[in-house]
Amino acid sequence: MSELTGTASVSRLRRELARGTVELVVLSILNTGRCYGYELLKLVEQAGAGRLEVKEGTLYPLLHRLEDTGQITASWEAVGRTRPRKYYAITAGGRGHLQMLRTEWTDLVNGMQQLLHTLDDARLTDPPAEEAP
Amino acid sequence: MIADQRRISEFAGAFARHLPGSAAEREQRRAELVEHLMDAAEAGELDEALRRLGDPHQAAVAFAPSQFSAEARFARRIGAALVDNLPLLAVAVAIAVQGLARDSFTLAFPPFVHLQVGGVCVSTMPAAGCIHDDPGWIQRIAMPLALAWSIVGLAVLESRTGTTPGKRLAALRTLSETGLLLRLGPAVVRRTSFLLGPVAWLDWLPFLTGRRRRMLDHLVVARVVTVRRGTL
Repeated sequence: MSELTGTASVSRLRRELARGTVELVVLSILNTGRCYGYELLKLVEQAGAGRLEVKEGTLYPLLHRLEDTGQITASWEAVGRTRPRKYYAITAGGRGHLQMLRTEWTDLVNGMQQLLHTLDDARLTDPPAEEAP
Repeated sequence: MIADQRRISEFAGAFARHLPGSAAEREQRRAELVEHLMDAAEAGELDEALRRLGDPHQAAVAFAPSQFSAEARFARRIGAALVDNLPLLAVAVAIAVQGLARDSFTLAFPPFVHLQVGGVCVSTMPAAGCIHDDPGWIQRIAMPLALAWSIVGLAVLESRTGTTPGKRLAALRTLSETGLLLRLGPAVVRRTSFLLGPVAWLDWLPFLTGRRRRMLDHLVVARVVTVRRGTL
């Protein structure tokens, strides 16, 4: 039962982390080159190594929002195939936004690591008193 | 692959029926979904992709275009409402002119509704109501037709296209909370305030507190959003 609860909370945690970081991930991928939707989904899946759960229901609303706000552009092109695909590419504004997101992310990770180390050190120097039987 | 194409085509057809926007806009969203699913089918992952997308309604929520649009301001909405309800406005003026001739002048918009039910007069106008033996063609024919247009006609248009003639002019779109087309039932319900005569204006009270939804919008959980001109 507790194992099931643990799995469920890990899944929930991953979903929440994915929700908070998918914009950074998508813009970072597009910063390396343009992609179409399914390709992006697969790249996010590979980049996350199973830890980042992103579904179409998260990816496409994000892509459409980024397109509406001018951070990415979209164009239909048939590259070496008969059916055209919608390719997404990052804009100059999107690169600026990505830089800001990266800075925020780095600050958050550093801050969290510092907090955890500080708490670990405090626990080692001042161990909690043992509970009475 | 043919079986996959048929599945994709059926799913995309059902998906597109939930989407708001112009035919071109809906076709673009549909094409993007079809491409996504074709890519998944080529990778042998169609079942997986369809499972992640859910039913066509849930998929349409993911691809809906206007989830992030701003809700429309009062001036723009009232302008659109006046254009949409011109027939009812004309009826209100005609009733006022008719009233002048009968010494019972009343100018009310939306006009008061009178209904004779088995000898009993039901009216939204206190102390007046069915005072005339012959209410005339305006009350008998023009007003029911104008009300039918304002309540049912516009609701049908809104539930099929997300917009009405007045909203098209003002570049507005009516959507559900999830950004999809409003179903016919809620679209009719949010227009029933016209049956209340001038009391219908109370429906707009939330705008006085800075909110951008009428009371009936809140009731059926609908949003009226601004869209880029040319995308309707």
